[in-house]
Amino acid sequence: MIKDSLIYDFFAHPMRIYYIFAGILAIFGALVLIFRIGDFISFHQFIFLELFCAAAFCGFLFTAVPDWANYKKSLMSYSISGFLILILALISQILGFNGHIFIAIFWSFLALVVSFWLILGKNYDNFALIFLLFSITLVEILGLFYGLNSYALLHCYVAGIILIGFRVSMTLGNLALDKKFGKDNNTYTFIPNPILKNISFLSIITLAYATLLNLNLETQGFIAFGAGLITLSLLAQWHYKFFLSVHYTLIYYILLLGSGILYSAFGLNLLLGLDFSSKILHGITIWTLLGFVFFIFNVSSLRHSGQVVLNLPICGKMGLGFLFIAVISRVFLSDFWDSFYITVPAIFVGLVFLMFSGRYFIIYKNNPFTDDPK
Amino acid sequence: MIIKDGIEIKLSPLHKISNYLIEGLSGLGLIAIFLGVWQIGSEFSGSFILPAPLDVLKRSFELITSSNSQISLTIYRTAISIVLAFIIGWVLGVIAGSFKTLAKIFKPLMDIFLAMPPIIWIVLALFWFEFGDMSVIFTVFIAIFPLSFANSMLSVITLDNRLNEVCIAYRLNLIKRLKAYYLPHILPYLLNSLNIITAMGVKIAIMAELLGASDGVGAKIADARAYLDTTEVLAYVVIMIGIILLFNFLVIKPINIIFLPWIKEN
Repeated sequence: MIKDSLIYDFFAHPMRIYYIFAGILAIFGALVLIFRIGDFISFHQFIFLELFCAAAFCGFLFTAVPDWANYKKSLMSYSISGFLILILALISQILGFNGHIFIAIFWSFLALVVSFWLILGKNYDNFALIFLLFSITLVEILGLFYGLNSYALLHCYVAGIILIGFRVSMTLGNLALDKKFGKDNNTYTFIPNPILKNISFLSIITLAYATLLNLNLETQGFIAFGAGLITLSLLAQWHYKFFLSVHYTLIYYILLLGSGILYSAFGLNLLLGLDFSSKILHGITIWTLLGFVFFIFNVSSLRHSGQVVLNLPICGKMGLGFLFIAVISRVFLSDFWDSFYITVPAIFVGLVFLMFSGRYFIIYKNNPFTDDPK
Repeated sequence: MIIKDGIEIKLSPLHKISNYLIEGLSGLGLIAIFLGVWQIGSEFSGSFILPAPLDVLKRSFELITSSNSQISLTIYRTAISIVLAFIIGWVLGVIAGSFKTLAKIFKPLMDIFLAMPPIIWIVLALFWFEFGDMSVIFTVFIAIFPLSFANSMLSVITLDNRLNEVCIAYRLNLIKRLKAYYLPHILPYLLNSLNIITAMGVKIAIMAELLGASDGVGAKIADARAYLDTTEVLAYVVIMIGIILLFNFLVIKPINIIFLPWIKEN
């Protein structure tokens, strides 16, 4: 009986519960900002940077890592444990206690579980992922004692997105090739450049550590500028007409382009001693972090819901446009009118995840979970 | 990249060059990160020992835009030396490589020239030509000429005679033979030689100017040393390294991509 229920399905396939949960958290975070609830500045930071990202990464990793490590046992206990920790974090923060403790516990739990699965599966090719997870854990634990360094955390997440994005980009490229040549006739394979991916990851994680260690602004500026240029260099491999004419590879390209530009701008801002750090970092948060997470949510959800031919629903395509408006509003227009500073970006970010949660809840409900059709 | 049956698909030279230029941003990015590490070193050692990279970059920019930097003079001297060494070295190298007796005669001479420290040439050039253009140009030329010559000779000696026989059997004319036989074999040596002598040429030119000229970048570095101006010394170093890297990035590598597509860059 329970096994047939929707809730069982959602927890048995953690991607579903965690993605929907992340979407709801993003809507909640947007509402907190729009209605200025309580200490909305630190509360929205806690929701977006800690709870939302924790749920998003967990949803992806609890689906992908068992596949990479060939782990076949039930994921139910892991997904329930992780979910409970996140709920405790949320409740304790709402009640005025320190929710960061639970977030630190959550990342420790996630890092250990992922390491355990990979070691069990004798999969020793994911050092970068393990390093990333323990780095996030370190940032969170240090945050308990010295105050959270949210920018270091943001850069860690972006480094994670580079890692995860590499895997996703391989799928996207090959799907685009299938689309161009026909699935049965396609003899072409797309292989993104792993060396550039590694360099890009290392540069951004170096920036995270430079921020964590509070190195001077010039050092951070040089590293950020370098990271931006390296991210831009990833674009070369997408310069094929058919990649830029298929919507999902084009979206990936635009996200990457925006991320590279934003990181380069952040670096230049620090080097030239300008005062745009907060704006650009919000741009990175909305465009790179939320944008990529939203896109990966879409792609992985569809791939694991039996959709062999990838076709993002209209909300998936519109979402990117909304995030673009949110970035333009927060980064460029916020000086002209107060609403552009918080309200407009919050409304558009909220809308993106409202559309996502609604649409994908129905997709999850109507389609059984499937393995990735490689 | 996109592969078909395990082999990377062919791209047009223009597409390859555009990809190369965009991927080149990663090199620039890594340099920026290295500058970050330099900044840390500067914080620890103080600005006299190791000036901050931003200060050095600013000074470099000032020097490039200033009419008094004498960078163009050094580039002019180096360019003349490199062009002469490259052309004469290649012509003589091809001749020596084509005749084994000549190769045998020139071999010990080249070994001696290659073993000679450039500083000796600077001292000798001062005796022979006094301070100025000629002394610097001669020093650079004589120091890099053996490299060009040796590369050229080696490229001709290592030509595969069996392929030549195939060309003769198919009665290929000179242009086809150049395209299919000589150039693919010789061009890598040629480009490698050009790359090495450019880098060596710039380095030796600066050294020659520092010791044997009253003008040029080397002389300016000597002045900066006298005034203990570490920032200016490093600014000139940055400019000259930049010129070498740019030459390599914008000239050598694109030629490689267009004419030697089978050579893997990454």
